[in-house]
Amino acid sequence: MNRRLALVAVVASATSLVACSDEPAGPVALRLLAYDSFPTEGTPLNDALDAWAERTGHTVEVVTAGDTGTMVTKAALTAGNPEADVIWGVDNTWLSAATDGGIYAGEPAVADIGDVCVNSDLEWFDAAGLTPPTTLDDLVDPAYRGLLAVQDPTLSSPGLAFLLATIAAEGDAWPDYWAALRANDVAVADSWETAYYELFTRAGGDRPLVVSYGSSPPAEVVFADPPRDDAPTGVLEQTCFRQTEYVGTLAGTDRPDDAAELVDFLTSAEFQAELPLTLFVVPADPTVELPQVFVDFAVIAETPWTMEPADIAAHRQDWQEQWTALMAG
Amino acid sequence: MDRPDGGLNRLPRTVVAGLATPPTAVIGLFVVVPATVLAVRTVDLGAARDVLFAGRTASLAWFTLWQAVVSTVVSLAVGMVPAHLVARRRFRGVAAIRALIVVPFMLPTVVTGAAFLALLPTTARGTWWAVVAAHAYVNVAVVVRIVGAAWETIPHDLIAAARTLGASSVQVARRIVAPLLLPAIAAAGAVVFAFSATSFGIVRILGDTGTSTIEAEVARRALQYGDVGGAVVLSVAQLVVLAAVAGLAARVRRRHATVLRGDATPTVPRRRPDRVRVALGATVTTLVVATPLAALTLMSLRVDGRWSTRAWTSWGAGEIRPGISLGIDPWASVRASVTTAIVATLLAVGIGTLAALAIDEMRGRGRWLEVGAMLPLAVSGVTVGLGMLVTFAVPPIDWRGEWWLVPVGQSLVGLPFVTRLVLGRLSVVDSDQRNAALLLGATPIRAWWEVVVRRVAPVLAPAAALAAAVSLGEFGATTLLSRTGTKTLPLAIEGLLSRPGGLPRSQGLALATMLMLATGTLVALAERSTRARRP
Amino acid sequence: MLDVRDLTLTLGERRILDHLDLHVGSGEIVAVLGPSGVGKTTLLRVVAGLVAPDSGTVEIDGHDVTRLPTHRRGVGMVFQDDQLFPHLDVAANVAFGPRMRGTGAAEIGRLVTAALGEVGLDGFETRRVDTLSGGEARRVALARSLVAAPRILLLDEPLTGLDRQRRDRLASDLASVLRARHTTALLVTHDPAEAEAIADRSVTLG
Repeated sequence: MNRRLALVAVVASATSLVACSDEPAGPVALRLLAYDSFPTEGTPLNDALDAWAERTGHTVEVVTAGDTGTMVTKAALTAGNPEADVIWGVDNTWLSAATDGGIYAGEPAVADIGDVCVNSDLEWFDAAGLTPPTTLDDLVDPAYRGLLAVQDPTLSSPGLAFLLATIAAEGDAWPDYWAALRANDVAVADSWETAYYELFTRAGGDRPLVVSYGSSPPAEVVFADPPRDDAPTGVLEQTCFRQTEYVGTLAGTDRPDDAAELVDFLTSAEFQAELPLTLFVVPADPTVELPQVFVDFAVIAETPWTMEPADIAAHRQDWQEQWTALMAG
Repeated sequence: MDRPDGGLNRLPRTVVAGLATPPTAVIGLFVVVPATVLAVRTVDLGAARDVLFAGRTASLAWFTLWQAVVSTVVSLAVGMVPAHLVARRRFRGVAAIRALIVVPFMLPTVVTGAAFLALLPTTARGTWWAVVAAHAYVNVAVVVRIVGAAWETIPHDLIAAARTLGASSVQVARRIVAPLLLPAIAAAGAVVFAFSATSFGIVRILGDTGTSTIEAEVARRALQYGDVGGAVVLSVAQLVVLAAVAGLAARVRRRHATVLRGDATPTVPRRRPDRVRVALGATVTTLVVATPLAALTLMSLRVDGRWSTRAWTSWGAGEIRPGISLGIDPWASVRASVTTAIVATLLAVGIGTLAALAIDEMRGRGRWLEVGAMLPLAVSGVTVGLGMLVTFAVPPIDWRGEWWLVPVGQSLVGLPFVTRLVLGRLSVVDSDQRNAALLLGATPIRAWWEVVVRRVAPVLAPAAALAAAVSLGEFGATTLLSRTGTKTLPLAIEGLLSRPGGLPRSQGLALATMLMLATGTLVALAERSTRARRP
Repeated sequence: MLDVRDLTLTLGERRILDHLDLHVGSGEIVAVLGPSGVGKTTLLRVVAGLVAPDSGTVEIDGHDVTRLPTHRRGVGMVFQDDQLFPHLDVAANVAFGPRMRGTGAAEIGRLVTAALGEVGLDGFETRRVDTLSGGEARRVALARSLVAAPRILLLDEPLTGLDRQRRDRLASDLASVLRARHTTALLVTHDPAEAEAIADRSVTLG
């Protein structure tokens, strides 16, 4: 008898655990799908979302999906029955995969702009007595052997952007370029965060050159401890690739109108004003004034590498597969 | 009619239907239909078939095959010693050794991968021999169980007879023992091959892009490239190859199977050299099994080269910048794992028990249900997940992103274990037991309830423990079916261990240690309960 | 009160029962003799309803039970291997029949104590089945069947498997218990001495 009671108690508590853990009590939140580096709480960006939630009565739950590649693929796999209502952060390099997959309801809006460029740890180069490289070709110079970290272009959007930059620069000879990079001991990380926050020498790693954003140096000033007023990192302007990020409603969501309202807010000046100092990107809204630290230390390339969306759409998968075969063998 | 009583005392048809319908429905809907959909899609996808011949696929297929062969050879070679020890010798602690050997097989593959990551130097990551070593570690249990069981039947007199005819030890081994063990070796070899060829958790953690299997490639294509067509083709091709290997092994078994009669009880080592050998064998076996797990626990207490408990104490999400985390929240993963395990266990035990009762009641006609319940063993976790993902994607059965897909997938993986356990218990019940109850005035339903169902009840707890262990450690189907934002422990462990080092890595090892302890305890409980056979 | 008429059963190639007639009067104890494998146990199983005959009828107290399921025939049986329920203790085993009939707990307790006393197993209520000796198990099986108050009791080789001493004791105990209750019984055995010791008359098969 006792054993049966115990069993019933276990099953009852288990079911209540399951029932209570899944959905929060109260109105269901709008789900905003974004990449890993989008903050889930604690920043002015989140405060802006909370303020909007109070005004409109729609709470927003930020769900991070890893790197952009995984995020887009999962969205495409669930197109028509999405896991969220709004998706933030698909960039121009991945856009063709997203639209082919039919993830958007209607056209996505431009959320922010940035340049994907190789960043260099100026202090490290100073201490090592080396001049930092300036061009893409410099990166395969044996003088800079073992100093570069890039991201996997099948997973990461800066990774893909950098690959496209090299293809734009080297043309059909791009596999040779990458073979040379490989011979020069390039490190490949799965995501921007791993590269910037673990491999980069600023974070305690051993790579003073890392693919990141033209707007990353301001972050080094803002979060410096002890505080400083100069940027310890620089940008290799000639390696920059122009990147545009999009935000849009996911097709098939139960709340298309609420989702559209959220998209409007995310592209409004109130929200966009927080972008420079949290995501370190340039807001799409031109009326937003950039903070001084941004103006001083961010690099917005004059002549970045670019590629036609049609080109990207046609060849992205092939290039990714070629790259994988090249770097694995 | 296969019933001697002409059907007079049988259970009402409605009861039997009630038993058989839920398992049939579940297996049909979630295993058979998706498998069919996958097969049909493969025929349709002409262009996607090109993926079979793409350069990367070919090199991966080659690697998958040869590492599986090497893993099989190594596992068989390494497993012979403990198999002989456990089958032919009796000594204090042999039961403990038996139980210990099963542990690596029942642990989650991510835990094994993590343990070897902790044990081996960093340069070992991505090498073929690290992967093979991990495979051998897991599969020694298979060899010991299967070959050991056969070895237990070789009578002493047979060997003695050969000796009297002048055969030396080597000749006895080659000409008597080896041929007799061949069917078991083939069977064990087939299992190890299938396991190694479909390896997912181990190659995801220990391997890199070059040392990967077709199974991992299926997941990669589906979830990273968005090339579902290619993933489908690859998974079906893999199924075909595995079926062929299984068929081959079955042929070898049938051709060489013999029944042996004679005393084969394990002997107590008497002479000094024999005792030393036994002691050595037992010690080495224990060390081999325990070392990777000890390394895992130890290394979780090292962060950045120093002893520290930070990996265990910092389980709030690790922040890099305010609000930005590494995307892995260990406590959330623990919660996710526990809740999915509870649902998956209830499902697996419920469906598995009904299936076993139905199979037992339907006798010959229940064969198809038995095959169905064992199907998930033949189909890899990733394929089960991919099948569900691809099939339930069209309204009105558009279940993509539903929270219950993961527990359902996990329960399918655990179903064969539960069904086998309950069937084993049912086979012990004498057929006259029900007749005795009938002759005391019990109706057929009551007789069945009192004599069959009540005797099965004690096995439900160990079955639940086993199903829970399977669910906690399940990696393949869960990877495919998980909703964005919820990572069970194996997924979180993989995420943390893919970082180059530092605190996240140690956190991954800590989580893996915890998962090892949880599943190890559950499996030990299940083994102990089934061993202490109560009537 | 048991009438078997023209019973025929063929299993595979062998004709096990060949137009068999048998009568057992009320309160009679009849033994069926014959060598092993001749079909004695099969005969019991047909009467019990566990095996269907090819042709012929079985009547109990004038009712044709040939098409009735086992639990409605009012037949009890002591199996050759006892078939005690291992997951229940002795008292629960003996109480099984009354429990199936819906008898109240107090009454059940009384019946169990009385029955165990009759077969010489006072105080065995809480014993576990796997701790019983061969003779004890046989007695529990007997008590269990008797408490269910069957119209006719079938016994399959009731003394087989016991040593000489226990056999003699069980034989006399069995005979006296059956007689005291005026139980109609049909037992099968290969041993004429066993038949002699227990039954009123013997019939030979095969």
